[in-house]
Amino acid sequence: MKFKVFSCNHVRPNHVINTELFQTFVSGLSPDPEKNILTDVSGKNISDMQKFCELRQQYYIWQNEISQYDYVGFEHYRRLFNIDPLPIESLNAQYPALSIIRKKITADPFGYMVSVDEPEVYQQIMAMRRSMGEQEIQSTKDWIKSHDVIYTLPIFESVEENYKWCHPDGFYLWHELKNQISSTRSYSAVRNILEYNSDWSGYLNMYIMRSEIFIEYMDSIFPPLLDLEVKFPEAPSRIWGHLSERLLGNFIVQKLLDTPTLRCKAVPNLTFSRNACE
Amino acid sequence: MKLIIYSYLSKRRSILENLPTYNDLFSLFHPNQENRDNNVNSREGSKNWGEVSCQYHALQNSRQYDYIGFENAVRPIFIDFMLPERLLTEFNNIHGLREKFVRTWKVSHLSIPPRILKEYEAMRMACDPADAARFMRWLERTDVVVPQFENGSADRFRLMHLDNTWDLFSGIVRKIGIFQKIPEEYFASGFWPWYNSYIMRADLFERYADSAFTAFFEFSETFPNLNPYLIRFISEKLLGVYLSYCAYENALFRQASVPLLHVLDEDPPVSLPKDFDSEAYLGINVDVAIAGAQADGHYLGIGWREDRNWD
Repeated sequence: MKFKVFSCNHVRPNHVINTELFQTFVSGLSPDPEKNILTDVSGKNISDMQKFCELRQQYYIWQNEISQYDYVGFEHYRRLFNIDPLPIESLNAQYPALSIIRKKITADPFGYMVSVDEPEVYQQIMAMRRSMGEQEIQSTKDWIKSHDVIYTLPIFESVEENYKWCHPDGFYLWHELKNQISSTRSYSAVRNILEYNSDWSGYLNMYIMRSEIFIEYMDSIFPPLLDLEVKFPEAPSRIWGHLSERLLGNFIVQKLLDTPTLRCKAVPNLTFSRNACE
Repeated sequence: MKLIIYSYLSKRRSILENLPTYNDLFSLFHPNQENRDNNVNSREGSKNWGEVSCQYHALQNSRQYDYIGFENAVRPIFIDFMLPERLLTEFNNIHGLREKFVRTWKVSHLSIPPRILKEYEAMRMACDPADAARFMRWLERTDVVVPQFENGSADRFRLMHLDNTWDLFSGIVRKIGIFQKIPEEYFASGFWPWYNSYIMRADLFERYADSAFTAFFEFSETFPNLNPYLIRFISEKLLGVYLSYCAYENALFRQASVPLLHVLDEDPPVSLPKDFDSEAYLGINVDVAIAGAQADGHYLGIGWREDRNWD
């Protein structure tokens, strides 16, 4: 089973990772001579479309690399999944700072995110990811394989209302998006977005998906967003990335409605302060 | 893969009549009708353990399974595994429940009238081999399935049961089996699944239940005069402690959450149900007893709407 989580960056980060399971991906960067960093300046890409934020990396994988993978994941350079395959005894002994994180997550099953200010935690996560042995890699793959979609724990607020107060300057585009979707896709495929909306969403363009579901997701969000990009060139910055964050929850709801026993898992995200990941 | 789900048959379920004839997957259970369950029933007070007696029966008699599940027949676990096309045509109300669950995400239970419970039971009975295989495939990718937490912590009614007794119990259980390994702070957790309903991988269940029942018996014998229904609530919380520890011990522990179906009549009852037991009602609903309310008046007033138990 082939699986990789891409750590999405817009500039070259200080911590670079390139292992079997994790890789740094910087959109718009010239190819890295050491080939540790994946870039999207070759192949089919939208690296110059800044308003798509992390969707640029997703677009590149979708268009160029997805056939290589059974599962793909995306996380932010400072918002990470807590993928932690070590038994507690080893974690305590080798990465005590991560042991504290695990305890926090276990103690609060609803914790949407764990805020981290300590650089030591980021360093230990990177060290753990780099030193994963065969057994840890296999445990991680087994865990991933047990799910179809892994996304971040949601915020319980109407998607539409949340978008309205978070991005008032771009709210008109939410309606435009709905119009665009309703004119291009069958009602049954998007009824959740058009009529119900969710009372929750993941919001972070951060997920791990089985490749077929990832392709379906990309197929569903990019055509309308690329059309809107052409139609509204003056749209606010980062707007398409913000809109897609709202579409992720709706997509998952639609999949769950259509697919009994789809295995979805919501997990907390580790959000690092900017200083902590430098 | 072999799975059994015990549906605990309370008096409350039996008043709904037309009991389903369950299949290999789902099995009705009633401790008083279960001959092999002598160990629980012969103990003083254990007849009040309710759904917990099911777990003891499973611990003693169900070693051949890979997964073991428990639910109350009046509050079944909501897992639907039929394809939407069939669900829409044959079990439309269940399709409605799926929509409700998926959209609300964090709901811990879905209230349904008795007629929809019967539709749900009929759906379970009508599942074909492909449905069963889909369900098994879903299940084998989890370690445990539990009722979804809703507001994050237990309600006051549950806490009142445990206010004065949890420390006594944890003093006993922390010396037994797997619970010896669990750090103290996990015993203070405010999160746990309710109603003693869950489906668990058999090896994890055995590790839990072996130690839990040793503690339940020792606790009952050490404190024989406590509320006889207490073990039900202690058991819920102890399961929460165990599952938190499983996730701490192994961060890749796979826990799935689903809602329970709570059966509520659509109209207020005009009289008490047959077999209504006032003493049990006050024993289980300690907040009602402490407030000095009468069991029958409380049930007919608001208790039925709050899905209060008397069995």
